[in-house]
Order: sequence, then structure tokens, then C-alpha cells
Amino acid sequence: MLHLPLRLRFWLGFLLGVTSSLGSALCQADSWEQAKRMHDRLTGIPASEAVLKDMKALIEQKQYKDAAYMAMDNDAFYRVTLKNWVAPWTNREQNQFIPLNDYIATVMGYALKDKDFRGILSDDVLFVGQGVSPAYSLSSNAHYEALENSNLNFKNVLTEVSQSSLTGYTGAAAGVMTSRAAAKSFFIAGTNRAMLRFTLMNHLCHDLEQLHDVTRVPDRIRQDVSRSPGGDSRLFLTGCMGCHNGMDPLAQAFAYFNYEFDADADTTGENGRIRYNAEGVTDPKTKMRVVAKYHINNTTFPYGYVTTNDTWDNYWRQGQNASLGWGAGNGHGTGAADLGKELANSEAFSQCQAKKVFQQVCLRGPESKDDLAALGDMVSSFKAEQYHLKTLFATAAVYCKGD
Amino acid sequence: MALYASLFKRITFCTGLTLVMVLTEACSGGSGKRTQRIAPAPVIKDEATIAQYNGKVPNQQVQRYIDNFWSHLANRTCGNCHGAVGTAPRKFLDGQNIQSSYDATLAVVDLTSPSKSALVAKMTATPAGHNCWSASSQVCADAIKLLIENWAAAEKGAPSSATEIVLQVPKTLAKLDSLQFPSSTDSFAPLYNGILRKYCIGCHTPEALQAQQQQPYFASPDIAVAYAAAKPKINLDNPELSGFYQKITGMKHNCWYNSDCVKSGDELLAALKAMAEAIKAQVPDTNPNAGPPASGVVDFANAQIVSTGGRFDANVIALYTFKEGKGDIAYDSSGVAPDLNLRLSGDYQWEAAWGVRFNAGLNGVKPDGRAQGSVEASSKIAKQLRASGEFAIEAWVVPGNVTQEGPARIVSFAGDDNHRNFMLGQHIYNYVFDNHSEGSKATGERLQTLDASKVLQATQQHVVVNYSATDGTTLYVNGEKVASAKAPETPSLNPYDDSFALVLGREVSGNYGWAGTLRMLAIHKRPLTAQQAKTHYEVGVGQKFFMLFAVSELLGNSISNAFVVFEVQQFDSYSYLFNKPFFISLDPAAAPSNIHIKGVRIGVNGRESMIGQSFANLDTTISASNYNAKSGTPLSTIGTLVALEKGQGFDQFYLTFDVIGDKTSQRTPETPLIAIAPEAPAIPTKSDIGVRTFGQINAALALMTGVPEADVRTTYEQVKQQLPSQTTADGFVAAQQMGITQLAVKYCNVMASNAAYRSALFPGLDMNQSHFDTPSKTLIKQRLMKALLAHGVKEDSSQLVNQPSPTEVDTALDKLFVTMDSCTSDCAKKTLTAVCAASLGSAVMLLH
Repeated sequence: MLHLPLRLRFWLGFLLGVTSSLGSALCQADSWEQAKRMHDRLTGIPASEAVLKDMKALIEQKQYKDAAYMAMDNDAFYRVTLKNWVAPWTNREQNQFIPLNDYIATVMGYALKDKDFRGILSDDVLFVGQGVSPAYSLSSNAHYEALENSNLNFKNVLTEVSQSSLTGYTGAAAGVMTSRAAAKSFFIAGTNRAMLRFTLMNHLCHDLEQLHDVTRVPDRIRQDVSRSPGGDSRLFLTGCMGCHNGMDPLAQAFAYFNYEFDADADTTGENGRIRYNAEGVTDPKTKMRVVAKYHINNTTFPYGYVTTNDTWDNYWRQGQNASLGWGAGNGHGTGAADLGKELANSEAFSQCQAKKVFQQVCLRGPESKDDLAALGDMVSSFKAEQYHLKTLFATAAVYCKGD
Repeated sequence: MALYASLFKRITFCTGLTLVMVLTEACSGGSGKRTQRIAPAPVIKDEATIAQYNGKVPNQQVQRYIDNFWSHLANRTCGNCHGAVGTAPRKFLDGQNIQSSYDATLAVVDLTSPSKSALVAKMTATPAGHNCWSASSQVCADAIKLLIENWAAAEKGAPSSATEIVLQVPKTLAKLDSLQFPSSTDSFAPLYNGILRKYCIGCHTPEALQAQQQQPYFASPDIAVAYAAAKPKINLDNPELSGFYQKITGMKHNCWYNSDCVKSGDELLAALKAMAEAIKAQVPDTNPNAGPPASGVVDFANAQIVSTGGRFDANVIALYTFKEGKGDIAYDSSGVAPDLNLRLSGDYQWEAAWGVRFNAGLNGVKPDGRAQGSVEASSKIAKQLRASGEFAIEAWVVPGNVTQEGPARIVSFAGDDNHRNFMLGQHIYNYVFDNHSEGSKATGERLQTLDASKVLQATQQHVVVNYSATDGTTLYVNGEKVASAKAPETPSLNPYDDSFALVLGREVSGNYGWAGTLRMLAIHKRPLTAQQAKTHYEVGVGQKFFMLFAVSELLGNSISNAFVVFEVQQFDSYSYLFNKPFFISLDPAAAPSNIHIKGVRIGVNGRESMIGQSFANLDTTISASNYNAKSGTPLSTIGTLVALEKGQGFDQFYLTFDVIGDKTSQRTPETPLIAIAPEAPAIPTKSDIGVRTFGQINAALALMTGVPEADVRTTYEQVKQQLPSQTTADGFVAAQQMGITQLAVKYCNVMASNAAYRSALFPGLDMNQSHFDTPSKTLIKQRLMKALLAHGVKEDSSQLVNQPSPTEVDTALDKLFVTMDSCTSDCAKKTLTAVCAASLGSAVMLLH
């Protein structure tokens, strides 16, 4: 670190005060200020004078969305905004300070290519950096770290590839849920319930406390869940059961997945890889395709459900959680991709993406009547424009551009 | 039903204990003082010893009788009357005429079904028992039954095995009347407004802060939503059994009145009772006879005990089943004299499902419950194990948590904290076992499960510790081997000390208290085999019953004596386990075909339970191909918990069906109530500006200085976690500004040090000056303001209103230049770095 003279430190503080009255000035924003704010919020960086002038011109012609799209043409929208927006979704700690990974890059790719964002949980797709060395690896994140550390323009190099062509697992791909980063975080050890919980949190904006419903049928709760924690079954009947009765039949979709790593030499699984028991492959412990973690601690409550396949059921289509607005379908399917479609076709999915974008662009959650109306407009636009992610960013930026 | 009274069916089952049902009641013990170093006085003076037979050599059959039965009872009170010198007519303990004694015994025991022995029944025939040597006649009954079982096992050369169960038609009970929830919310409104909307809105409503929102939303602003969410937590027939009330009084869940759970509970109960009374006064708006097809009603008194075998208890020398349910003594029902009964003290409570719970202390107080035997009686363990040189400690435990350490003592046989014979304890997620063999230190050699395995869980577990001179120490949990250690070089148990005491839940010193429940403890003088450990786990703990729910009427009496049967047991003090249902007819000639059964729900005390209905999705058809005349047709392999309401002696059960045979019940599809969104404020309450976060700051500084991010990556990686991660300005702290400063200085220093970068940002700037002249200063200020957009970018040359005044910035930077005039070396670069960092690292960049 450079050692600054004491006086310089004083001056740094002084200049902080120069902008102390900025907040009050914002209510007087005109098209210039609106253009600057839209650009800053969408990209994280100041605009060049040329772009600012062009955006200002579009705003004056009431072509607000075009102005937003102009800002999003800057690579910083991907490299800065989307990277740090998505990063917390990809790990259990919800840590933002992590390197680029395949989950983040794939979300970027969906935005860049204007792909239907509902496919983010089900498509056989992954985005890689074309020409970036080292190439994509199932057992390393080096490819994405190299891409992030390069000066390459993300817009130019992000390239769509078939996920199954990389993994070799036909029929396993389920968008970012089966990305290496998600597998490393949510298929590692445990019971694979984490994949469902974090997907619900990140893409339906609901944690399990908000989905807790003891009235659902608990017939699919696995054997590893104690029915009498500490000898008190009231805890199960009023607590644990309310989440597990809906969660376990859904998380069954991941019954063939695992994240393999050397637990002794690589405790955090940095060099691990996703594993999927394809047709004909059996787990040595379960003697079926179902991975061993679905049968662990099976003596905790031996009368619990024994998983034998990856068929899932959505019990939350009935009861209070029907309010999540499930889409067409019968709430029943096989495997992770089917489940991804079930989740992404819900009203809650679209609402959640809109809320997250609103927070990112407006720097606060929607709270006023106007905010909520704007949120509704964002969702409507999202649906009307084939679920393009940039639609949400553009409409949010227009709403929060300042008056 | 009398017509069918003589009908029966023999079927074979493979699980369960042969235990006699007792109705138990929960009873809490009071606080006790800490015990002395050695146990308190023995609870019952028992000077009985194992009798020695000194007569002529018997045949092998009689020898097995002597070893397993006679020797354990002849010196007890039984021998006073039924022995050689007694006056009782049946001389089944006559050691002087052992053959006739053997013959007399065969007349009062049933070696095929020991629990049905006349001798066992005699012990419980009257409330006082029949001259039981113990204060509890049940102890004598259990002990004698165990002796007969062991004798029977010795006869067969194998432990008692699967027992034939004779299913019999149960007595028909009338279905209890039950209040039904009305469709109107009127009766709910007082509870809603007076309690739920008053005390529960911090979490149980969508209005709560998102991080605190907790379903169910029974405090929702929409009373219809709240009513639907509240129903599963209200018991109209017994308001004090309502989930709401239990949560407050039993689980101390966020009580109000300054956490006064008694006062809170009283207010809540009054509201619940008022609601029930209001509903009673109404005319029901649903026809109580219009419900789904329902089976006959059954209670535990009319259920059949599942009396099976499978346990290997021939070498048990102390056995605790904890079925007493009250009092302060846990009786040794091994039958092996002398009885090692344990005195309970401290904070403990009996479990209704058999067991004793040592409670966790509240408010930092350590658990202080324990059960301790006398030194004299405990010495039988030391003597027996010294003689055998090996043993198995077997226990069904429910650790109260996975945080206690010490190790916390589950079972200890010790003199003080540092001198013991053996000790089974808990250390967080681990079981710990110490054994004092010859050559080991006084605290014993330790075997502990692996940390990473997290074998110990706060749930019911079956634990077996084996010790032998050949195989060392082996620990099994739930029938699986989880840890082992080789035998020591000198494996003898000779150091076992007769002056130590057996204690459960705590050390004899009173230290190292354990919170949890013991549901069974057996000390065997020989190790259990791996298969026996697994079998004992599979046999389980507690009394099991078969409940037969009559369904013939629902099938139009087309098949006689048809039942849906559940294996039922009380699971703990708060619930029942309904397990593995099957369909069967007790008519051996029955040939059920094409009986469709769908959507089975369990009713308790007149109404369907709203939770735990694991068989509601069941959908199967019984046909000749899947029906077995002996075992029926399995309906499911899973079990479910049903909340206990009034207790095992009072609760009644029945089944309902969506479809059974030709009868159907079209349930009304659930119509989810969508909560009304809380009223939104007219204007946002939060600021619509904020600070850039770490990645944005880095990218902005790179853009403004023209320095590639890669050139500053090392510094960025060092400081990025010190930079803001949230956009809210009111969370901004000085440490974050220091991180920004450090990064800005680095960018500016790289720029000032690199001619290409420098000339791109400040074209024509002369760096060969000791101090910048006025044109240079003007150039620097203009270019920095341009980078910040703090200059006349508009057509009229005015500045953006959301950027600082160019005049103020100009003035401020001028002052900084003056300050830097005192610089004495390398001043151009230092001044440029300083002015650049002060500008670009300021709030002008940071806020947006």
C-alpha cells in the first residue's frame, strides 16, 4: 500500500463532503441525469460522454427502454453487474466475493443471447468463453477464472454449448442447477436437499420458512429425518414436517446426482466434479441408480420413505403454497430438468426475477404502491417479451431513472 | 360381532418385544440435591442371591431349568412358600426334589409363549401382585417372564423367535362426537383479534419483515387466511390439547407478558375455550354424518399386544425398561439377584412411551437428573463381569442435543470423576466409552466414534458396547458397527471395583450431567454378536400393538371380518407411531378380489387429524394375486406419527377412506386462500440512491484512470472484502472508505507511474516539474472533473445536478495543490497521485 501523507487523507475526506447534497438534488433530474443514473445502475460504471448524450437523446424521445439497452451494450453490464448479481446464488454462504463460474456465465449468456430465462433451470445449456485457455473442465473452475482475469469482452466470447456434451451425461442437464458451480455448492455431501432449497431461495424468492405447511401429506419424508428430535416429536409435527413434506418429494428429482471429490486431499472440493448415475449405472451402496446420500442415516426413522428413483411430486400445488402460481402441468415429473420447468413456470419465478432486478437497479426493494405497480409491469413485460432478462433490467432502470 | 368371536387367524410377524402392556402416566420428579460421592441408600433391601443347587446331577433338561429359572427364584420370597420348606401347594422351587419341582414348574409356565405363563399372570392379577419381592408387581412379572424366555431359548438352542400372533376381532366402540369447524370465522374472531393479531404479528403474517416471516400465517391481516392456517393448531374438543396452547406452555414459544408463559397460556386457553363454546352453541353447518366412509373405532384397550421375540437376553444381569411411569425408582427387571434398583433424583421425568428423561437445565443450569444404585447392589455387576471378563452394555437412548460434552455421562459405573469401572458418555456428536481393564489407567481406556461420522444424533438410537478379551471393544449404533479397538494386552476386568456405583445421567460426583432420555438399558455378562446387536435394534423398544379397524360394513359385508390393521405404538410422550398397514380378513375362507382402497386417513377422537396423514395418497387394489390368507395384503411400508391427545388410555382411533370398495368420498378440493397484500405506503421510505459496491468501484476506477483492472488486481484482491458489498449508504463505514482510498491510490499511482496511461488521461502533462505549474494544474483538474462528469457536459455547459459543482471541486483541488507544494521529492508523481486519488476515490465516484 502507498503511504499517503496525513494531509492527503484529510483531503480525501474533504472531497467526500462535496457530494453531500447530491441526494436532494436528484429530485430535479432531467434527461441528462436520468441517462447517467440509468447507465450507472445498469453497468456500475459512469458513462462516456458520447454514450450519455445518445442516451439522453433517446430519453427525450421517450425511448427509455432503448436508452437502457444502449447502456446494457456496455460489457460492464455482464462483467460487473451480472457477475456480482448472480455470484451469491452460486454458493451456500451467499458470498459475493467469488470468482466467475459456469453458473454465473450461463446467466450472463441467457441475458446476452436473449434466451427464454425460464430455461435457466432446465435447458441443456452452458456458456463458456470461446478461445479462453484453459478450456472448460469438469473438475476445475480455471476456465472461468481465466476468462474473468482476461481483458476479453464478455459479449464477444460467451458461447453457448451443450452441457451434456461437456459432461457426457445424456438427459441429466437442468440448466444452472447442474452446472459445476451449483453442484460444488449444493450437491456436495449432504442429502441434495440444499439444491432445492437454494434454488427456491434464488429463483422463487422463498425460503423454507415461508413455505412451511404441516397439512401436506408427509409420506415422502425420508428415513434420515428424526421424527422425535431430542425425544420430542412435537418438534417434528409442528416444525420439521412442515418443510420436509413438500421438500423431500421435490428433492427426489436429484436422486441420481452427486458431487465427487477427494474429501481427504481436497476438503472443499475445488477439484471435484458432478456425478450422475445414468441409465444402467448403479450405486455400490444402494444397488440402484439412486445415490447413497439418499439412503444415509436410514436407521434414524426406518419407517420413513425409501427413495428408489428420481420421480418427483409437487405437493405445494395444493394448500397455502398454491399461491406461488404454479404453471401448467400436473406437478409430477422425473429428474432435475422436469423439476426446473415446474419451478420456472411458476408465477413466483417471474416475480422473483423481477424483485431481484428491482433491488439491483433501484437499490431498494419495491415498497410503495407505485413500486408494486411497477413490479407488476416488469413481470408483465418479462412474460410478453419471451422472458428476456434484459427486459427486466430495462424496465427497472426506466422506472428508477428519477423524475 | 359375537358371531365372529371364535374366529381367528394365525399370522407370523417378526418384530417386537414380548412385553406386557401397562398404562402409564407421565409424572415429573422434583428437583433434588446433588448426591454424595457414592450412591444414596438402596431403595429396597434385597439380600437375594443366586441359589446354588447341590443335589444329585439332573438330566440336561432339568439343568437348563435350574440354570435359567430355579437358581434366580429359589432364594427370593417365592422360595419361602414354593420351596422345599414352604407350605404352598405348588412346589416349583423345591431344590430337594428337583425333578418334581421341574414338573410342577412346567404346569405354571408356557415355554412356547412365555408372556402367557400362569406364573406371569399371577404376578399382575391383583393390584398388589402376588407376594412380589419388589415394590412393583410389574417388576416381578417382567423378571419372571424374562427368566422363562431365557429358559425357553435354552431349550431351543436359540433366542425366542418370531411368535405367532392370533388376531382377534376387537370390541366395537362408538365413534366419539367431535366439534367441527364452521365455515364462518365469527367464532374465531375473538381469538384472532385478541391473541393472534396482538402477539404473533412479528412473524406469522406476510406483513412481518421478510427475514422473520414464518408460516403458517395465522396472524394474517386476512382473517380467512388466518382461520385456515389456525385450524390445525386448535383442538375444539380439548382446547388445552391445542397446538397453540402446547406451543406456549410446553415449548415456551415466544410467550408474551414479558415471557410469562403461564399467564400467556391462561389467556390463550381462555380464548380457545371461548371459541369452542361458541361453536357448541351453533347449529353445525355441515352434516356430521356426511363424512367419508369410516371404519370401526379402536382404542389401545382393544388393540392386541404384539408379543414377539428375537432378543437374546440369556446373559442379562441388569435390565431397565423404564416402564414405571411414576415414582422415583427405576427397577431392575433382569431377575438376577440382587436387584440393582436405581433411585431417581434431580430434574427428571418419566416418558409415557417408557423411558426416563433427564432434562436439560434452563438458563445455564446444567442437567442434574440421575438414577443411581446402591454400592451393595451395584457390586453384582462388578462381580459378574470380573468373573466373565467380558460384557455388553446395551441402551436405547435419545440424546437431548448434540452440544453436550464432558463427556456427559449416559451410563457410568464409577467411584468418582477419575475412577471408574466403565462409562458410556456423549461428547457432542460422539459416543465415548471408557473401560478399566487390567493395565489401563483408573479412568479406563477410551473408545470414541469419529468426529466426522457424527454418529450420535439427537434422536432415538440403539447403542451396544461389547467388550471381550479376544475382540476388544466394539461399538454398534442402530445395529451397525461404528467403532472398535483391539483388546488390551492384559484384558482382564479384575480392576473392577466393588465399591463403585451404577449411575445414569450423571457422574456419581454429580458432575457431567447428560440431557436426554434412556428408554432401555441392559447389561449383559457376555458380548452380543453383531447379528444379535442388529436383531435387538430391529426388535425395537416399547410396547407394540395391532389395531384392527373393521371395514366389512364398508365393503357391503361381501367379505367377513375384514380389517385394515396397523402396527401401533406410543412413539414418545407426544405421539403415536402408526406403521405398516395391511388388509386382512380373519375368515380363512375369504377371497377378496378387486377391492379398491384409496386415500386412507387416521381419525383421532372423532375427527380426522389435520396433520401427519401419510396414507392419504395411498391407492391400491386388493386382489387374489396380492392377497395372502395368512398375512393379508400390505398396504404400505411406511409409518407416520399421529399426535397424542388425551393419552394412551383414552385416545380412540378410526380410519376414513376416499375410496373403499364401492364407497367413495369426493373430498372438496382445497381452495387456497391468497393472502391480501399488506397496504403499501404511498411513497418509498428508503433512499433511492446508494453506494457502488466492490466490483463497481473497481470497474469505475479502472475506467476513470484508464488503467486496466489486471494492473491493480493484487491490490483489489487484498482490499475487495473491505469495500462495500451492499448498496445502502447508511451502512457505509469508515473502514470501507479506507479500502476505497487504498484502491484509488493504487490506480492513480499506476497511472502516474506509467507514461502511456498518464498521457492518455492527461495529454501533454509535463512531469519534469518539481511542482506543477498553473497550466498543468488546470489540465489535471479539468481532466479529473471530466472523468467524474463533474463539468459542463450539457449543451449549456452547466453541470449535472447529481454531480458536484465544478467550482467547488476546482477550489478544493486548488487547496490540495497548495498543500502538496510542501513536498520535497518526486513531487510531480506524488501530487498527481494524491489529486487523482482524492478526486476519483471520493463520494463523487462512490454514490450513484
